[in-house]
Amino acid sequence: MIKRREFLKYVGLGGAGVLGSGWLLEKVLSDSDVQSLNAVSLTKPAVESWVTSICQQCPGGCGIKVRLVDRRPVKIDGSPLYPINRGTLCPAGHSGLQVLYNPDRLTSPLRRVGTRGENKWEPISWDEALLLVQKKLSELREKHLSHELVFMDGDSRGLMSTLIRRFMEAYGSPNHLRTNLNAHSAVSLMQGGSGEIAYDLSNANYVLSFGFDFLEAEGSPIWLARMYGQLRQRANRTRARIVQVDTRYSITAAKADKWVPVNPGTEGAFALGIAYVIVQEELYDKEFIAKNTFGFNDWTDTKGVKHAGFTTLVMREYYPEAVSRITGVPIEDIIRVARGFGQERPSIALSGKGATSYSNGFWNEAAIHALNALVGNVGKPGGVVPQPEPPFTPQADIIHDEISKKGLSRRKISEAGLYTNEFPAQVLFLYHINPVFEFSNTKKIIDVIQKIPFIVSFSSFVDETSEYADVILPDHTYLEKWQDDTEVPGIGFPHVGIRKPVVDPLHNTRHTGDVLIRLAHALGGTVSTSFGHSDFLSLMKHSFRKMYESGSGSVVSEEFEESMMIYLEKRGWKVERAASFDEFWGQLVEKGGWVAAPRYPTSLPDMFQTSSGKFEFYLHSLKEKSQNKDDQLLLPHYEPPEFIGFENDYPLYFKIYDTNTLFGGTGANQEMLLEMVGHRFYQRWDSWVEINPETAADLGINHDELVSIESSSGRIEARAKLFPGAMPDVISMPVGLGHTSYGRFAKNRGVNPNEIIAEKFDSVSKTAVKFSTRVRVHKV
Amino acid sequence: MARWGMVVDLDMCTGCGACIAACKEENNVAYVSPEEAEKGRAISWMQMVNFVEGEFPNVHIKYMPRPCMHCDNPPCIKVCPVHATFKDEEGIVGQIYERCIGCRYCMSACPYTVKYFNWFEPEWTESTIASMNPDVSLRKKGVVEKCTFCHHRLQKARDKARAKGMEVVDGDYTTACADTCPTQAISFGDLDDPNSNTARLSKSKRAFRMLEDLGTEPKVFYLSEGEKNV
Amino acid sequence: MFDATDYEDFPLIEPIENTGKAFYRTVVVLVAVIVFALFMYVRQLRIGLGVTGLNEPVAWGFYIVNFVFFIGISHAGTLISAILRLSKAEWRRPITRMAEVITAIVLAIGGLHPILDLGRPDRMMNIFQSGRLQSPLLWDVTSITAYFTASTVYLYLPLIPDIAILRDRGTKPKWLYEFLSWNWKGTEYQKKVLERAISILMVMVIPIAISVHTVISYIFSMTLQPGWHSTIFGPYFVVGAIFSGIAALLIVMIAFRKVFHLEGYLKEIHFSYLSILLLIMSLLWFYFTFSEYLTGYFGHEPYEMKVFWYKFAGEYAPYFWTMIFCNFLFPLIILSNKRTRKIPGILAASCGVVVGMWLERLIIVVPSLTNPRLPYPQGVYIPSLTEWSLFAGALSVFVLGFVLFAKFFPVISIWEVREGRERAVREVTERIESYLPTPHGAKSG
Ligand SMILES: Nc1nc2c(c(=O)[nH]1)N[C@H]1C(S)=C(S)[C@@H](COP(=O)(O)OP(=O)(O)OC[C@H]3O[C@@H](n4cnc5c(=O)[nH]c(N)nc54)[C@H](O)[C@@H]3O)O[C@H]1N2
Ligand SMILES: Nc1nc2c(c(=O)[nH]1)N[C@H]1C(S)=C(S)[C@@H](COP(=O)(O)OP(=O)(O)OC[C@H]3O[C@@H](n4cnc5c(=O)[nH]c(N)nc54)[C@H](O)[C@@H]3O)O[C@H]1N2
Ligand code: SF4
Ligand code: SF4
Ligand code: SF4
Ligand code: SF4
Ligand code: SF4
Ligand SMILES: [Mo]
Repeated sequence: MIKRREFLKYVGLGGAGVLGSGWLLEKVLSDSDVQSLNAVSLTKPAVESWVTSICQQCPGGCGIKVRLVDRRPVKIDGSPLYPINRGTLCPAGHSGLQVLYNPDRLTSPLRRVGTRGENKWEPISWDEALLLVQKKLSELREKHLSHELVFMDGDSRGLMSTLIRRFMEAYGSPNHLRTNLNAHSAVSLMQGGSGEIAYDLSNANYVLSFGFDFLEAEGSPIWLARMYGQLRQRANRTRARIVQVDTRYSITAAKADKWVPVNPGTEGAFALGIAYVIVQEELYDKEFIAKNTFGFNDWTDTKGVKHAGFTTLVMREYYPEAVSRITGVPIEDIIRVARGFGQERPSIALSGKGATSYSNGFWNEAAIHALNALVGNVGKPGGVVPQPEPPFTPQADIIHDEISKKGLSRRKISEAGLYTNEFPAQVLFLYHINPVFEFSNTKKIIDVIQKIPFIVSFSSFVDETSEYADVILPDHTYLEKWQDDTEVPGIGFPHVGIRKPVVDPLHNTRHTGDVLIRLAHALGGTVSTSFGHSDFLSLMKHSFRKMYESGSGSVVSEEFEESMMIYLEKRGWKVERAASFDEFWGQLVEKGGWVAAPRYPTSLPDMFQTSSGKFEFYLHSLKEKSQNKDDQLLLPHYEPPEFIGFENDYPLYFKIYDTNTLFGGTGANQEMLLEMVGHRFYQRWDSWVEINPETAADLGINHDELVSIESSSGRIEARAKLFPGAMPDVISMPVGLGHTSYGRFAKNRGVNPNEIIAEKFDSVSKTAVKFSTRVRVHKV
Repeated sequence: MARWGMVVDLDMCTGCGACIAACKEENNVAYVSPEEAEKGRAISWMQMVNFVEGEFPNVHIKYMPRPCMHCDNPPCIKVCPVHATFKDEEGIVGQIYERCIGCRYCMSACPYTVKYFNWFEPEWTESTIASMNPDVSLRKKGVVEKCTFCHHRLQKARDKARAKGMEVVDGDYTTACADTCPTQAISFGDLDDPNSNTARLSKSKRAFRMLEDLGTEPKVFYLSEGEKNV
Repeated sequence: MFDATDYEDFPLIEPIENTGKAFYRTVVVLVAVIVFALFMYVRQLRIGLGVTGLNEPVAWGFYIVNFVFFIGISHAGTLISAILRLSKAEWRRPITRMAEVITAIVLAIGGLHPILDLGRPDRMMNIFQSGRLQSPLLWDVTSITAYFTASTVYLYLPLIPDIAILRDRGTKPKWLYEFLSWNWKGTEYQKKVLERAISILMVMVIPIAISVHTVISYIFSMTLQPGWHSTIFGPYFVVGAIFSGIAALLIVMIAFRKVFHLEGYLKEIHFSYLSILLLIMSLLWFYFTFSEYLTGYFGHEPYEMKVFWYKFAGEYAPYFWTMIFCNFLFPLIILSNKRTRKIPGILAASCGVVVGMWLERLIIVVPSLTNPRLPYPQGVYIPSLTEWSLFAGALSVFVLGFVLFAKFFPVISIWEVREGRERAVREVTERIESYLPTPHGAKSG
């Protein structure tokens, strides 16, 4: 029998027990690791420092400053000094440390031990690896097959690009294939020169963009976003108008004043329809046309043959009714846009991959660029301006031996060559490129790659293509290396960014530039003597001397506003602040870059390096290339785009687009970017396909349901997003997911649309185009 | 004393999401597995909210970056049983992770759905643990977290100001999201300071707040997009 | 020690003295379920609330639903018993004990639910250390604690004379009855004290009970969320609580009547009376539901309407309409018809109401959260195995609690029944006579 008193005691004990177990629970529940991490970071006084460098998560070329705590990088922010981004960053810029610290980085050179694609490797030493590669290269040269070294290069510019080109030339191969270019081939024929242009958006009043997704994925995304900000809210200026011609309600379309959905590939016709109204209503810049263009009106050549001019062609064929029929754009819209474009100058027409990634892409671009000439907006503020290069000290000439001379005389292979079975590569170098993932019709690419006897990858990660490599010579990540960053697309003023190691390399990796120099030296002979520098850093220092000596431009700094510098320079001032090159170099490295004022051409003929010395509506140079061309085929005109897959079988157009998170696919190994990949579609970590709600209803597809997308090249499955911003017969999908390799985060997440993109090439420039595939969609 | 607030100019915002990323990096916000994210357990102090109107081709979508509104009259703190979420004297609505009992009442009460719960012990991968911001404490399983207006930056600014014997004023501190915004669409500052750009913008004719009629008095303002006409 | 008079109510004592195999079997099954639930809970403690189906924005689910539900059921007891006692309803005598037991057990279960729901139960003490009085959650803690204390005492006090009977019979375990009987001798003084205590408690317990569910409704209505922010939530919740409580009481009564063969104690008339009460509550419940949604609909506030349609025609429509059927149509049809207002019918209707009221709690908690005001995608809530296990565990605790109680104590108050037999007829007659109008309107003397 228990006494009440005792009972109370037990109650007391029980209570204590409850409290005690609470304490125990606390112990069980709390994670000591996390606590200790907090404790460490909070108790020890940490040393904080900032290092500037240049981002390389995309080709945008933004300046960054990395925060180090006890020399450990902990955060990336935008460098406030750097003129491209002025202290700001995009999502990928922020996730850079997830590249540096990525758990799937390669920590040493690897030699393949499994079969190709099996992803089995053994670590080897650098000496061993380099010897292996050098032997292959020597063999090839001995066999006089130097041209069968193919260097695929996805991200080089500035000195790295020069270095690779030099290596290939000295070695004796013309096959340096670069993909990282949204090449303006039509522009280069119309204006002459390389076609490298920039759009001076911040000063424009009317921006007409044809598939130029400048708020998501064009050129330098932050630069363009900043320009957009200025178009919107700028002091003492009217709010510029933006019209986005796009087959999808892209973010650019959403932020534009008007979205014009057009039938895919008919942008050229739309542009010519606008030209019609502008000519008809005489809204064009008569002075500019008369002085600076060729082929606007009918003309007679030296032989007395009469040729039709641009106006004649436009007035004959591109009247609004006809254009409306082709493009699907209502007549009122054509007229309204044309009037706006003609009147609200400076107005500027932009062409992006959306307009050019078709078989008729060259001509679409030509038609669009013709609009810039119509309103006389070339070579002026608020218009199309040249993209100048910074002054670099040239290197000594390349010395060619017989082998390299012979090799270089061989015909350069094209991207189209990749899809034929006689792709003539014995040795393939892969630098910042992943064709098995990024190129159309990935299955065919694998077939071709499989057959190449020796493949070397410089990637920092095992990506899809590197799985087929024989040797991987891992590069530093961009946070561990020296590199210059120039020629950022579309910037419009000369600039050099200094990418420098913010930490010592974490692993046993090497700068690809250094590796190439070492290989060249090891190959001996003229190949070796073409390389006077022992490593990439000394090459950089050498090249920058001219920048210092020229006295133009200035190291980026707090004190100088861009506009101030431009003002000074225009008046002949030299913003010189360093007493010696070493001092200049020191400043450059510390501040992270150099800029100079934009160079508007002093006279327009300077800008037009064509045979007529003028802006050419009539493409002389194309005539020279292919003799017997009809006049109207040498003027900007509309050719119907070709599609793969018959309409009956494949009723929908299939569009893909780059996002500002995954950047084609490189971002897919970073948690941050995967988690926010579809932040505007509430989608994380997975692919999706945008379908118009009515189209979906016809197909019986619900939101977020899995659908199958089938083209003549293959079939993929993705989650449907019913999106009122999708055109009824166009479905769109982001690129970048669907990796089968590339580390734990990227692998098996989402799908890769490239698997079903049929290969297709531009009819004139022969570059690969991506938007020509038709598909059918159904519920799975 | 400052009353910190934020203005987001939707006319300038390009919906790029840099603010989302900057916030995650700055504040040591954990990543959850893709499977968990699919279930709606991802944590994103700043999030993009889409307002869709109309049908093809007359569709309009408004994208609004959404941090915590730091309401002056916050429904979330009224319901917390343990004072684990509170409004400080400068108007910032904060969380005390070490005190929160994880009842998620504040989550249910926030009309803006800005509070996030740690459904599991956060698992830090090598790539994320190495880049932790030492200024921001890590959250553990079972507690609620949300945007703090980068409170740790305020603390630093306060320390600096105090060393000089001054108070923190507009411009002394800004948030990670405002810092990084490419178009400078986000402006952060003292809403009570007549010289503050943020305060000026918050009184602009274009200014509005989310769910204004609830009377929560958010300190995050939005400036409407410009007239669209072509 | 054998007292022959006890033969009179032997059916009430028999289950205590002769434990059958069925008892052990039931206990084993229930304990098994409870142990499994405990295991799942410990797992939840270790891993985190991620093992539930909760997410952002559906931050609350089964645990909170069951919390509201169980606390609602608890109103069966003490409140009903107090009202019946207070109104001197004589037919209450065989019912009150069961009602009170329900309260005590279910309140304990319900009260634990918010703890199951906590992300950091280890920090529970923070509520006392840094409690914030403005939080409805704190009001809850207070009122539930008060209610629990009051109702356990209220259960215990009328139990003392019965315990004494068992003690006097020498029923085992002797020490238990010895200890709990508090030296009850049945003296006049003791009786007077007991009666005083009971009547004080029964007056006290009514406002406490009402406050409990009002305060629970405040958890929701004090927020601004669509579907929650409503002024009638207080009475609405109280009515719902009593409603579900009566239904639960009826089920328990029918069960014990069957299992313990108590037909002699619980007569058709008890069921008839209670079921009419149930019917009235059903109508009241419908009235509240109707006004709640009608005002919502007429306000036509967009966010409100999102939740409204989600319930009426959206994903929650099946639950919503089942609830309307279970709580209104079904009891109305069965209980308003004399032919079906028999024990099987009443049982069916009561079960329906219990299910319906559970659904009501679900429909209140979840849809408001799945439809946030800002245009996020609609939330999805699918309860996980853990949540179902804990639900099953809670139900098992309830049944086990009852089974154990019945194993040790009479489920019908013996002394009150006896008292009824001895005094009720006379007292009631006197009482009725006292308020019957006198002939010719003469003033009574
Ligand atoms: N369907 C479709 N296909 C396309 C396009 C498209 O729009 N749609 N766009 C085309 C265009 S324009 C382009 S530019 C290409 C882009 O395609 P690619 O040039 O193939 O570019 P990424 O996919 O970014 O691949 C770069 C690879 O570089 C490696 N890498 C990452 N970091 C480093 C490093 O620090 N050093 C080195 N050496 N390597 C590194 C990674 O393994 C990564 O796989 O895709 C083309 N393909
Ligand atoms: N953020 C970010 N920036 C990048 C890159 C990146 O991956 N991410 N990559 C860089 C590289 S290498 C390149 S080449 C450029 C590429 O940049 P973009 O040229 O912008 O390439 P895409 O995103 O493929 O397509 C552009 C737009 O065309 C639209 N479009 C598709 N089909 C059609 C059509 O038939 N008609 C019209 N009018 N529009 C159409 C798409 O919807 C999309 O909005 O961006 C560079 N900058
Ligand atoms: S735009 Fe490109 S370069 Fe600039 S921060 Fe983003 S990823 Fe880096
Ligand atoms: S960073 Fe700026 S522009 Fe980008 S989404 Fe955020 S607010 Fe908008
Ligand atoms: S937005 Fe939500 S969490 Fe933030 S202060 Fe307001 S109610 Fe609280
Ligand atoms: S979850 Fe934490 S902060 Fe939120 S109400 Fe509960 S205790 Fe307070
Ligand atoms: S203010 Fe700071 S915490 Fe809040 S969203 Fe911006 S970056 Fe994140
Ligand atoms: Mo590209």
